[in-house]
Amino acid sequence: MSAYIQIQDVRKSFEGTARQIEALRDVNLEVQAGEFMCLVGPSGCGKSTLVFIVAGLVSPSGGAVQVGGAPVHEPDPDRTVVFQGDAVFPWMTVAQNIGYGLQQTKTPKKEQDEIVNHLIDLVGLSGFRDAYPKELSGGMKKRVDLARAYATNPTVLLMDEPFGALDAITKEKMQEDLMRLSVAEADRQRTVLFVTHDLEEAIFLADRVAVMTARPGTIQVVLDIPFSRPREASIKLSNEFQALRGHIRELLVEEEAS
Amino acid sequence: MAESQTNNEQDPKQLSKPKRILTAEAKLSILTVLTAVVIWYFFTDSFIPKLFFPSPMDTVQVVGRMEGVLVEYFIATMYRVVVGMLAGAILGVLCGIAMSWNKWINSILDPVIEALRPIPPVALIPFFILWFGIGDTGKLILTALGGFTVMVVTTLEAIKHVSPIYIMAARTLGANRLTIYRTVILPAITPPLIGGMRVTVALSFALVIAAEFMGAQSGLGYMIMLARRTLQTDAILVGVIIIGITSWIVDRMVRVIGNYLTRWAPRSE
Repeated sequence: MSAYIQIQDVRKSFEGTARQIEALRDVNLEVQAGEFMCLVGPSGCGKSTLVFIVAGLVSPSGGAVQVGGAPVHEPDPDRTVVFQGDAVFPWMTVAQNIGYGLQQTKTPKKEQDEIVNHLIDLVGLSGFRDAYPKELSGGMKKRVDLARAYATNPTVLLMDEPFGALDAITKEKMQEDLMRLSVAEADRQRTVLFVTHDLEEAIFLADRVAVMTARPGTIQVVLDIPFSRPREASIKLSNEFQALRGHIRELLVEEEAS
Repeated sequence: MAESQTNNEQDPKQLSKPKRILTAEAKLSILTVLTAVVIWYFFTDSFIPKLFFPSPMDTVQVVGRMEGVLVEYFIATMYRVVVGMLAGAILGVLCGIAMSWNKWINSILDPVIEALRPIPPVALIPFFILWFGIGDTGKLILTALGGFTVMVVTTLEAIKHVSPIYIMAARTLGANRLTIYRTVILPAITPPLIGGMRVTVALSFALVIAAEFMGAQSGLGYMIMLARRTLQTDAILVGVIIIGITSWIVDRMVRVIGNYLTRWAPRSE
């Protein structure tokens, strides 16, 4: 069986102000259908760039990305993205934000309402349907963002440090919610590529963790995470979890030093 | 999973107070206006000769004397201001959007706008009188030109500063270019456009009055010009006050409409 997301020999260079910056070099990665893959690496290693390439927002300087057997050229609501920054449209209400993708895919109005209402309940924003984002906290906005990415029922969910800007407690809650959401919405095989620099977050959420090298980024090693789903936050305290964390940390420290 | 809502836009002090029609701040502002009128009343007719600055009484009297013609001139000026301003502003916003949409349109229009921008429109009035005479046409075009320049620059700058994350999010959710302009760029640039519109209002009044000074047969600027020749300072003052009040009201209307259109935007008071 071939992988659902296939990243082959992907390279990316940017024109910097003074010189060319090589962000990614010969990245090869395969993500299986339905798999939750986390991408960790030193800062500036190009993990966000890699996710944007899979999203179709950035085109690679070389190599190719295939999703579901088709080459990626441009963004598609079948591959939605949750960004690190606040991407919720402030001029739209919670319901309008969540329904945005459904409107683009010309989903019938009645069905749109059903999906939007279902997702609002699922992410715990019931009472905030017609609220503008300015009335929401950072964590609530992130939930809107998450619900919006789920709304088009994509086969691929791309997440670029989605909880990076949240405080520690909110972040943990969001991770558990995401875990719950991935179980509740499991009617469709959903493949997730999740970028983070938080190792605990990566091990807690992922089926496999891909560790990248420093710039120019490439895949150093891919590790299996053996815990069964759904996972409870308490597994973070287990010896096995902490051993894994220590191992990945060492890999990154070596990389940062070299 | 319920999370308490942050009170980032509501001042708890204001919530606990019962709502009054006039806040203390508004009362203070009204007091300032009243004080100014009182000072005006005491200093004119006594220390300052009528010719230099007419008293409130003289001013009210002249309104009564000129009633019919005042209304006629007011309508003439307002027509020029409103129609010229709206035509220029709408054209300016459309041009700005078209220029950001297509680089060829940008290449064609950019030199035109760069050539127009540094010229104060007032300097063109003699030409406009020569080309269009002293009727409405020249004044409308002049006012539109002023509003156009302000709004095209405001629109271009505003589009340049739309956060790329919104555009990327819209793209990943399946929006095409036209949809992105309609649902992301247009709402995102509305707050700066309201600011540009307020500048346009002030500029439009200035341009119409200046154009009426130099050549017209009606309008408040024309009235002030006539009064100057016969040293009727009371009529001049009436014209100035009417222009001031209407300009303030139009600005106020733009703010009210703007606040409604940007009701989603977080505000720091």
